[in-house]
Order: sequence, then structure tokens, then C-alpha cells
Amino acid sequence: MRLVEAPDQTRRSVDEKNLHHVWSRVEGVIGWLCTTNHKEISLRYIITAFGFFCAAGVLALLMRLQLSVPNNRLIGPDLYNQLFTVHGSTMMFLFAVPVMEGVGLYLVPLMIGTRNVAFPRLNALGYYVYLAGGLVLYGGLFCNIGPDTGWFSYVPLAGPDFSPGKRVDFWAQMITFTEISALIAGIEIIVTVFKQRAPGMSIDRIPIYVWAVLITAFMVIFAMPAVMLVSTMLAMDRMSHVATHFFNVAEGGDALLYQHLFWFFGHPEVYIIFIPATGFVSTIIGTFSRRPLVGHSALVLSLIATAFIGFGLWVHHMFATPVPILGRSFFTGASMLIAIPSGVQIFCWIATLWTGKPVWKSPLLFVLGFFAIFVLGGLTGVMLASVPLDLQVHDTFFVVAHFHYVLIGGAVFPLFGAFHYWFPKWTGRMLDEGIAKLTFWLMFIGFNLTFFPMHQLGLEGMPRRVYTYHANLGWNGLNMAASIGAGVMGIAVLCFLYNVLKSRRSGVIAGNNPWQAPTLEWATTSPPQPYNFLYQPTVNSMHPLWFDRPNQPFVVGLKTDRREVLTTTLLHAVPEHIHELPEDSCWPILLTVVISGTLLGVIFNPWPFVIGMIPMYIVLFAWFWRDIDLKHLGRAK
Amino acid sequence: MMRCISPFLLAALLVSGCASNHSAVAPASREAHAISSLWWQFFWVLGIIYILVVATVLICRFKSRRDRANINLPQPADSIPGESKTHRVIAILTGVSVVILLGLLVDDLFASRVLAPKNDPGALNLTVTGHQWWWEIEYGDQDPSKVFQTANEIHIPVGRTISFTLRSPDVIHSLWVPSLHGKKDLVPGHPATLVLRAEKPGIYWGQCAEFCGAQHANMGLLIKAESASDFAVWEDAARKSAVAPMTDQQKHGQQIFLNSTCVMCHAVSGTIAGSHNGPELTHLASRQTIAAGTLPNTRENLALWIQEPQLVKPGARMPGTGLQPNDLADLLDYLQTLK
Amino acid sequence: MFSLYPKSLHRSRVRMGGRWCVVAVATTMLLCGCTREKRKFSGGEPNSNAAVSSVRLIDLQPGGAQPVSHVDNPFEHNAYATSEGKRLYSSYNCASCHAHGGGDIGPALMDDKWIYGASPENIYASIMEGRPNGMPSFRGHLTEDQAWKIVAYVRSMSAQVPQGVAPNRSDEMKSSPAENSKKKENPAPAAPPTSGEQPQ
Repeated sequence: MRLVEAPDQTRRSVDEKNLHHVWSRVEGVIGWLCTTNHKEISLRYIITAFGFFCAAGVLALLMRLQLSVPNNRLIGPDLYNQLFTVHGSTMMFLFAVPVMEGVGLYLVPLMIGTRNVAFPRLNALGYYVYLAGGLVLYGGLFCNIGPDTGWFSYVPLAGPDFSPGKRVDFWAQMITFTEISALIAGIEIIVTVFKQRAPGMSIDRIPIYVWAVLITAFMVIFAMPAVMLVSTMLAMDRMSHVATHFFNVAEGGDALLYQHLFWFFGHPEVYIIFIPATGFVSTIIGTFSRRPLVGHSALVLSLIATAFIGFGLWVHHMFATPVPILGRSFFTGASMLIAIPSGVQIFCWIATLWTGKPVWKSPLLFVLGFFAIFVLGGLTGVMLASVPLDLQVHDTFFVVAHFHYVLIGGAVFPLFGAFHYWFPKWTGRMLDEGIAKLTFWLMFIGFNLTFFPMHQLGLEGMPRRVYTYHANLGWNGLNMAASIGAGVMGIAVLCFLYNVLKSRRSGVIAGNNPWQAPTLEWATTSPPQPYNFLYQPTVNSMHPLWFDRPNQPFVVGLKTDRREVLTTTLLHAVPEHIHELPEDSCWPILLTVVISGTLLGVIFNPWPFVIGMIPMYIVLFAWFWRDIDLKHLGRAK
Repeated sequence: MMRCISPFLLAALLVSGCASNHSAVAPASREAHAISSLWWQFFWVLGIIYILVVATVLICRFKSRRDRANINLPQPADSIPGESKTHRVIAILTGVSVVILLGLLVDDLFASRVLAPKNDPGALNLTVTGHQWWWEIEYGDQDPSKVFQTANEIHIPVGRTISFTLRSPDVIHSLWVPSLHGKKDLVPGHPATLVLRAEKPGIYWGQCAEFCGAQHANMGLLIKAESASDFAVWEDAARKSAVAPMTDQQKHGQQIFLNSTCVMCHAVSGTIAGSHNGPELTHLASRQTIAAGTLPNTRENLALWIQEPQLVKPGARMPGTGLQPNDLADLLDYLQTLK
Repeated sequence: MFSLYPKSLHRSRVRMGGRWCVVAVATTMLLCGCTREKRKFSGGEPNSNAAVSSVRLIDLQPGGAQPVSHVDNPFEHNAYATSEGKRLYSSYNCASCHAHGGGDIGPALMDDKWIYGASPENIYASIMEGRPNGMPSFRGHLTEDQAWKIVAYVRSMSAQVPQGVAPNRSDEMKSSPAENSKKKENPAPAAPPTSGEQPQ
């Protein structure tokens, strides 16, 4: 293994052929199911998550239809309760986090200059478990077992006494599926970023998007266990023969314990959704301003500060509960404090736009939408940090407006910007700019028409999670406006879908780097080959494609007859050793089936948990045994 | 009037909060006033910040780039002219943000002090128990014989501290009457206290604000704040047992009440009906609404509620009675004597 | 050993077959959720009076035995209705005589001894008509829907309803296992108590 500045051209075509053969997946359905290519798995994450986004959007349209007029009899309370619960659970667990994970798992190996994530089979398992969890939830909804106690499913309402049947159990198990998937993605990101960066990509040269996803991965690892714990405790309280009393006040349990544990996860969860989106915003602003971001270190430190402070805010979701007054004040302070790193980021971004020469293409347009919407949501968040104000608007449509402003403005708009920005890299074709602009304006107008009136509704006394309201309370006009806006948003999403489908077939061919962006993913083909880079790149700056010299050396010497990646040290990215990655394997999907069967069975009876251990151990045993995979099995024939 | 009207709303969407009896920005108590003032302070400060941020972004969008024409981008950050000035500006703005947030925090702490429970020996003590999906209220007194209960409609005297003790025997509810105070959750196992002092007479609407099951949307309540003398009159009447029925129809109606499903859940003091499964009905006829604020209290609505409760509040625990029309008429006659 | 292609593939095929069984079972259980999970909020009587009025207390008959037709209580397949029955049992103070199924001055309801019959129509008749030795008659004070829900709950106390339908533990002090954790009893006739004696 050695560094060369210009790899030998005669060897080039031989190397391409060999690498293609080694890194491609096996043909056929089995190969498709058993792939461990991070790009394919990520695209499945993104497409599945987008499918859930559309499904939850349809549920939202139904809800807005019911609320468009007072005393509406279109949807009864039972179905409505299932609708808002599944809408919230889908958006939070099945769309927002997985789509950020998916985009991260696609881009991170490319941005840091490696061929795949650190644990390819684990990556596949993460996707399949997520898909299974989503199917469990929607299967439940279509069979009248959709959970109906809200996306955070407070006890005692969701407890064994007040929620009969299996609805809440389906919700609790969906959590288990999606949290396993999120933890897997978190582990992948951390290990890949720490150990597989291109030589020369020292810690101060890591692209800002990679920082964002890395910090998110750490947050996932600290936050997700809390929700797995609380959903398991709830499931055990509800389980026959187990019937624990975690939340049973009469036997020494505590209903507020549920809220503390849930929100200890729940607040970092929204930053888990938001921080990767800040990575999108930073990347897009950096590229389109044609200059490095102002205050790169400040941006990274702000992300880290947000991540830390984000774990100290959770009681602001519980200000109306009987928690001690002095304690609430600390959480007010922390909730206001977190506005400061976010503010620093906003200032740095605006400064970058101000001092650069911006090119106003569609990704940047979505970033402008982000500014207009997220900042308003963030400022209503500062209002909510104050206990007296929160006591008025908590659990009302004001809060619904707030979190949709921060989540749609802060995550969905940057996500659509990211889709428009990276679509050329993922598919090799550009999205249509005209339709993109139309999508943006429809989404912007529709969003504001839907959610801005909700601030007023909340102040006027309309609580959330109500399936109807009285005609004499003065809420009629604003609700009608919100419902119309929701329809406009639906049209915007359809426009986007049309753009994607049309451009995939007949969009302008993109080439390697249509935006003249600085990061490494634009150094390879669009879409990238299965092996990402023909030769292991090295870097000499944070913006390799802008500031590295044209004869920046490559590393040659990695074998082309098996899957090898180069691992480097954590701080300075000095090459350390060569790591062989496993071949494609069917064990992830088989393990998913075992896990799904076990977790589904546990909804009805505790015994499948024990019985399911047996096939689980068998599959894991086969997984870890060397050479039981598709390529070796195929060759041995 | 400017204080009540929210800017940014298009004229078509304008809803004036001033005349409302259920708005956080139409306060009628000491505590709600403190919250409302805090709201407007936050609103103006944060609103101006928002306008400045959006204006800056729009300027970025539309300003000409002639000043940057001779700078070749992209370039490394340290070789871009004016970079350290940019950093200084950001540092100053960050400092300004910290100061503003500290100011808002201090503002918030002063408002919180107004909301804190006070030890007022002259306070009226009410215990509110939230049920799925109605409100039970007990008026406390030093003399146990003066303690009485009512449901879904609270009367309070203006100018006197009211101390609510909030309990729930089933799921989490939340008591919220926006014009009088913020909300407080009724959490099983965690009794809570809410203190307020109404300053303006009126009838104020509130709703349960924590999702509590199928009929969370229809768990409303009314708080009527009245002068001390009016309140004393109401309180005296509320302590009395129900008047005995006079006419034959009313007596027959009382028989129906006591002999059918009604007596299993509803109490009427002065009769043998003593069950507390549902709201007590001793003074039903003097309430403004029925079914926890779902319907105005009229004879027709009462008939509908008794015959077809699942049409009015699907999922509520009240069963339909299947009464014949003349039995229903007599029952209604009786119920309308319960003033 | 593990590199022999056909054998490994056969093993994985068998395992995959097993997996599909699990998926099929789970799917079936899911689909059965429809009846179990439905929440019917409107009123309506599941059985007319006529069927119930012909309830026999015992099968012993003179001459040729006419078949005893048991009434099916649809609420016994619905988790929501059974839990409503539990709530009604508590609200209407059945526990004052029957405790939480263990019995007090009234007979135990969670054991296998049934003085007046364990089938749904027998229990319905016990509730609506009353029984000697102290069981009040609730006809007119309960709607038929309410009574059938209580019937479903009472039968769940001895695990006569499917486990997925029986209620979970209540949020009270634990007095007995939750209905969905109880052992299924085999109902058998028992003698009515002689006067002054506690029911066994």
C-alpha cells in the first residue's frame, strides 16, 4: 500500500472491473434482499421513510377534514384518536429519524472517502427492522388495532386499566423496532466516522454535515435507551402474567415516572431530527455561497452545545404537571439557553450568505424557507420555555403550531433542499428547477396557511387532540383556513413526487459535480459505483474539491479481489490498517423475521420472548461464523 | 384594543380576542393578567427579532453583489477580506442575544411569582376531581355540614383567592380556563394546587387540556365569577337539598328517576339517589350546560342527552334509557324542578 | 462442513419455512384483532329478550332432553366491552358482595362452582332477575347492553373468554391476578347455600 499521485492508467480498467465484481451484489431477488451496499440500503431508508411521510400526511389531511367545520360527524372519536396517534408516531419514529439516518448513511462514507460503512450487515439489519416496525404499526391501524393514546401515549390512559385490547401494545413494540434501528444507525455512523476517514482528513477537516450526523449519532445512543425502557415498562405493565406495577400508583408506581423517562428521550429526539438538518443547511449554504462557511468552529461547537444542553430540557414538556416550582425554573433557564447556540448558527449562516456570492438554485430556496419558518418556531419555543406562558399554551394548538414550525421548517424544508441538492448524486440526473420552485412556493404558502392560524387558536383556548369543537367558540374560520392550507401542502408533495418520477426518466444528466461543490462525494461518479471511489482518496483541506491541489495523491495497494477498506486513526487520520468487510449476507433479513416474530408474539403472551431466543441465537451464530454468506456459498458450489 | 389584535394575521383571519371569555389574551384574573402581560412583552421582543432576521435574509437574497465583484470565490476563509470583522459582528450579536434572553428570563421569573400559591387564610377551597369525561367539584368549609358538591359548573366570588386542589382517580386530565389562569394537570397520585383570584365578573369557558380518552373533546366546564353577594346567594341555594316535586307529572318523573338506570349513577340530595359514578344533579336545572359543556341546558337538549347519549358524546358512560315519550316528558318535568 | 452449498441452503430453507409460519400466525392474530378491538359506542341490544327468557337453570329434564341452546354473547369477543364490564362491576358495587371475584357474602365468581349456571344467559338472568339468598334484581336499573358487558366480565374472571379479550390488571391495589392471567376453570354445578351458611 502506498501513496501515488497519478495511478497507472493501464491498470485502471482492470481495477475498475475487479472492484465492480467484488462490490456488486448478487443478481436476483435473493441478492436484492441480501445486499449490504450502504447506498442501496440508504435509498431504501429514504424511499420507505418518504412513503411513511405520505401515509402520515394522508392521515393529517383526514384530521384537518374532520376539523374543518365544528361538530363535524365525518370521523368519530375512536378513529380520530387513532389517526392523530399514528400520524404523530409515524412522523416522529418512522419518517423523521429514519430519513435523516438514511441520508446520513448514504453520504457519510462518500464524504469521508471510504467504500462502505463499518458494519455492512448490521446496516441492512437496521433497515429491515425499521421496515418491520412500520408495517406492524400500519397493519395495526388497518385492523382497528391502531394505537389511540397519542404519540407519547401517557399512562394511566395507555395503561392496562384504561386502554383495553392490544392497541397500545402495538405502539410499544413499534417503538422497540424503530429504536433498535436507530441505535444501529448511530453505531454505524460513529464507528465509520471515527475509523474510516480518508488519510489527511484530520478532525478539523471533517465536513460540517459529517459533524452534524456524528453528533446526532451520539445523541441517539444516549437518548434511545430511555424510550426503549419506558415502552418496555409499559408493555410489561400491560402484559398478561407479567403485569408489573411501574405506573400503578396504588402499588407504589408513579404516573409521572413515565413522563420523565419518555421526555428524557423525547426532547433529544427533536434535536436528533433537527441537527442533521442543520448539516444540510450548512452544506447547501456553503456550496451555493461559493465560500467556506463563516465560523466553522463556532458551528461545530454550537452543535455540540445543542446536543449537551438538549439533554437538560425535558421537564419543559411537563410544566403543567405537579413538579416542584424551583425545578421548573432550571428547565426554563436551560430551554432559553439552548437558543444561543442555535442563534450562533443562524448568524454564521446569514454571514456566509452575506459575504459570499450566492447562486440562487432550488436547494438554497428551501434553505430560505427554513430561515423564515424555523426561526419563528424557535422564537415561539423561547415563549414556551417560560412557565407562565407555557401554562396557557401547553397542550393547545399553539404548541402544535410551534412544533410543526420547528420540525417542518427546521427539518422538512432542509430535507427537501437536501433532496434537490443530492438527487443528482443519487440518480445521475437533475431535478427540474421550475417544478422545484413551484413545490417550494406551494409548500411554503400551504404550510403557513395551515399552521400560523393555530397560534391564535391555541391562545383562544382550543386544546389539542380534540376530534371536534363547538360552533360558538369562534374557532371556525381559523380551522377552515388551516384545513385549506393542509390541502395545499398535499399538492406540494404531489408536485415533488411528480418531479422525482419525471426527472428519474428524463432529467438533465448531472455529471460528477453539477453544483461545483467542495466535498468528496462530488469527486466520484453520479450515481457512485458500488465501491464509491476507484482509488482511496486523500485530502489536504476541509474543502477538497475547492482547495486541494490537482495532484492530490491516492492510496493504492488495497486488494481488488475482496472487500477492503482502509482504517485510519481518530484524530489525525493516519492510515492504521486494512480492514476486510464481509460479503453480502442473508442473515440480516432472517434475523429481522425472527425478531419480528418474537416481538409480535410478545404482544399476546410473554412466552414468545423466551422461545424466540432460540432461533435468534441460531441466526446470530450463523451470522458471526465466517464464510456463511452469499459469495462463499455461491463459490463453494 | 391594539393589545388584543395579533399583527401578521391577514384581515380575513382576524379574530378579535378582546370580547372572548376563553382567551389567554383576554384575562379576567390577577394571574391571567400577569401571564397576558408577559405574553405581550415576549411577543414584541421576539417579534422584532424575527422581523430583523427575516429582513436580513431577504437583503441577502436581493442585494447586489457589486461590492463582491472583484473577489474571486471560492477562497479559503482566512484569505477572504473582512472575515475578522464578520466574526466580530457575530460575537456582538451573540452577546446581544444573551442579554435579551436574560432579560426575558428575569421577566418570566417575576411573572412566575404572581402565579405561586399563596397562603391566604381567607381563600375559598375547592377540590376538583377530574373523571372521564366530567368535572366533580366539592366546595370545602370549616363546618362539615356546609360542604357540598356540584359538577361541571363552578361559581366563584370575584376578588377572593380561590385555591383549587386537583385530583384524579382515573387518567390524567388538565384544568384550563384560559381567561382565568394557565392549566394544571390532574395526575393520579399527585394532588396539585392552582390558585387564582378573579377580578372581573363573567362566565368563562374552559376545557380539559390533557388527552384523556374518547370524549376529551367534550369535557368542558364553565366558571362563573360573580360578586360576593351573588356568590353567597348561590352558595346557600347550592347547599340546600332538592325541592320536593309538586305536580303529579313531577312526582311520576321522580319515580322514574329512582326506579330506572338514573339512580345507579346520579345523586340528588334529599332523595335516596346517592351514587357518585356520574355528576350529581341536585341543582341541574340552574346550570348553563349539560354533559360537561357539550350542550346548552334546554329541555330539548336534555331529552336528546337522556335518550341518545351516544349520539351526543359517543363513548361516554351514560347509557340510553329507552323511555316512552310520556315517561320522558314526566322525567324532564322533574329534572327541571332541580334548581 | 458449513461450506457444502446444498445442505446449508436446505437448512436455511427449512428455517425460512419456520419463519413464514411465524409470520402467518402473527398475521392471523393481527387480523382477528378486528372483532376484539372494535369499539362500538352506540347503543343496541345484542340479544332480544325472547332468547333469554327461555333460559334453563339445569340440563336435567323429564322425558327426552330438549337441547339447551346457549346464547352467544358477542361482547365476549370484544376487549373494550369486557373492560367496560369491569368498570361497571366496580361502579355498581358488585364487589360489596362478591369482592373482586373471591366472594364475600355472595359466592365467588372466579372459581369453578356455579349455583345458577355459568353460561352467558344464566349469568344474565342472575343479574337481571335476581336470585334467592340475596342477589338483587337489576332489571330496569341496567340496560341490556350494560348487563351483557358485566356478563362478559364475570366470565372472564374464571378465564372463560379468550385471553386477548380478558381485561388487564387494574390500576388499584393488587387483590388477585389480572383476568387475562387467570387459570381457566371448568364450570360445574354447585349446591345453593343452606340458610346461615356462607356459599362455598
